[in-house]
Amino acid sequence: MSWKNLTWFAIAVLIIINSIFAITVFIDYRNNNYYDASSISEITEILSSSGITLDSENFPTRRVSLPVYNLPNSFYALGRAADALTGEKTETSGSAYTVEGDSGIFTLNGDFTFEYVDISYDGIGDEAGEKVTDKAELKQLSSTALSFVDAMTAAANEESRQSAADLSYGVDDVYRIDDGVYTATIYEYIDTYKTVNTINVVVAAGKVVFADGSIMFALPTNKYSANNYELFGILIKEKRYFDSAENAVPMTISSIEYIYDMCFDVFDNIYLIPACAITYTDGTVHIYDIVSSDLISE
Amino acid sequence: MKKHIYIIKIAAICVLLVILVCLSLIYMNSYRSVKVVSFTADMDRIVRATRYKETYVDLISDSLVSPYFIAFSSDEEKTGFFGDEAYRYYKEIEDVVSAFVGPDAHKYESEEAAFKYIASNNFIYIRYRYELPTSILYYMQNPDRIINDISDDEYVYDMFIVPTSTGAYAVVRDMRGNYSLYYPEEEVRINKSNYLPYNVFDGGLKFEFAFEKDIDNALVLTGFNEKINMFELFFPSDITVNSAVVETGTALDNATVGNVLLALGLNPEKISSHESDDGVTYYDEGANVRITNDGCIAYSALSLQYGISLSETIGYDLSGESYSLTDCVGAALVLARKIGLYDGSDFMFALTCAEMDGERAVIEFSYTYDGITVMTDNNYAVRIEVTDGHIISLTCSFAKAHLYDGQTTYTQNEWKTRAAVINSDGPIDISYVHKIKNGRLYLTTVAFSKEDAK
Repeated sequence: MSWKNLTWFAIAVLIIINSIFAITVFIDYRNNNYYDASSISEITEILSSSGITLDSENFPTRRVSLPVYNLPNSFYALGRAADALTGEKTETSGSAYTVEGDSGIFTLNGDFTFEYVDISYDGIGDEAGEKVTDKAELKQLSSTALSFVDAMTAAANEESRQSAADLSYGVDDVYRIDDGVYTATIYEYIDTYKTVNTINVVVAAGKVVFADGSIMFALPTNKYSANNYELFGILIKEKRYFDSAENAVPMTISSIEYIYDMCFDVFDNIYLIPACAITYTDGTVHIYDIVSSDLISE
Repeated sequence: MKKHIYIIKIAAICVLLVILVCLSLIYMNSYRSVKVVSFTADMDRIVRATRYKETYVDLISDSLVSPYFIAFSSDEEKTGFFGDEAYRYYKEIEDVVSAFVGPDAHKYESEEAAFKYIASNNFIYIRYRYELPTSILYYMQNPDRIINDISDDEYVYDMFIVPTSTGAYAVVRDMRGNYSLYYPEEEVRINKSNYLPYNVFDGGLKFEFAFEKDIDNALVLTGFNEKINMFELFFPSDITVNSAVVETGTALDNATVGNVLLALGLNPEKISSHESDDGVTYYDEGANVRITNDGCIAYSALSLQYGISLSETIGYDLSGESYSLTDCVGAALVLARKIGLYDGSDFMFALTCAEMDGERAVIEFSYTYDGITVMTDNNYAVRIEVTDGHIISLTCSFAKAHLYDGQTTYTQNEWKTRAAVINSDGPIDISYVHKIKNGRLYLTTVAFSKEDAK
């Protein structure tokens, strides 16, 4: 065999080896990142034996490996948020932390939920209102609501030396209560995953006059890798939960979603821990921590 | 020239293809390698658990498990301390104790080995007021590490910590006389020279263990050898302790009674009551509370469903989860605070019983003054019984130490110990406690066995 033919033979062998590797890598990638259809079909059958219906379309086929985020010493961030909203006046502490300023009162409760009441707010009554669908109106409302969140988080975020992830916010469920008076819900996202934090706001005369809920207040500064439980394992735990429940009735899962749960340790450090929310058509939601696999909310 | 360029091109292609093969291999191998995680499931549970246990974590302190007596021994002599002094020295070696009673310690049950190891005269000796589980000792000293796991609890009544040239080990004994050897997961070092009796200080008490004592015939005839364990403490000299004026046995005012009823989940406005000569009994559906004229409270629920929910008391839903002994200790502290047993007194609390048998747990706290246990009419400050996640019984008594009232000296204690041995029927432990007499604290000797009073 000539030198030239030998060279082409070597190249051909290398190309074949690379092709085999490429196929293997692709299969590995698929196996490691996606659930296959037969496995999904098996788990839906297992669940149906306990009266749980799961449409395979509602099964998130992509496997996840989500990290844990942390914001140490969160209290400084909460203080900044309170100052930004109220104009910083007097502080009281006790069962709740309250900052009262010229523009309003900010109260942080013991469970880290907060409430902001603008000086001009005097309630909106119990009427549900009419859902807003007009795009221009929605855009205007979103802008007002999100600027409120910016005001809360800007000061703390400026002080933050490093951030481990980006937080973003979205506005939904906007209702018109009266002329120029709206209610809306602000959802928090970290790296495209929704967190458990939501804020209910009342917008009047182009500004947020009332808000309550929970929020991160500042960007997380630490990121930890964590082993995530397989979704199959979580669903088997859900099946066991149903099997052990008294008078369980057949139910249908409407969605399975990965979210982030926010919790605090005794030192007030915030942790965002990945979780899996299983929502049923009747509105029941079971949330599993996917690092420990514990059921954390039902 | 063309040939050279051709060879270079071929070589470059070959090199690139080989690099590609290598990269593929590395990439594929990365899937199979073990992923290093920095946030584990255990850490996750600790973060969540400490948060919900916050309702009682603030009430926990190492003083709740402060020892009854601590001593330092060398070849030359032994010196020991009671009360607050014992607690002060205990704090200095608390980390060492935690290393032995913590979840990572290694334990070996071997009486023979234990005896061999404490043959050394160089040790630190710690005796607790009553035997306590290792997990409770550990968590009371490290409340920020409380998690819901229940380790294989062993009971500790006293402990010999023996420093060696390479670290230290501990010989632990429960009240039934079972010995175990404990080694920490990571080596702990004790600077022996810091703990030799001549370094530790003024004012310590000389003492002997029972096995070191010269036993005369009269003592043998009392059944001394059968009734007393070999590590019982004998003090040849007098013991001087602080005393205080005490208020006890007084009737509770209406506001306090209302507070007590609310703490026990009963509505003072709607509850029925029956008054008798020595107190009032309050009746609610399935539960009743007896409050006597001398300030003793006894709550009992007729069945589980009417008991006080442990979940509600510690502010965390325990449904579907097993509760730990620490949760029961926390619930007792929360209730004691709500009832007002802490308020306006110089008395402190010490844990004198924490036992769990399946789903039933018993927790007792005693009052202490200056680190020495105070025996009230009930013998304890508060006692709760938990069954299947419900507190079905609670008894407590109000007692308040108001002011320091000089020192009292306890004399002839060896003869008093002899008397305690003569008057007892079976194996006993001896303890010095405060009793209340004429509104003042007096040190006294009590003999007790595991089955009766602490």
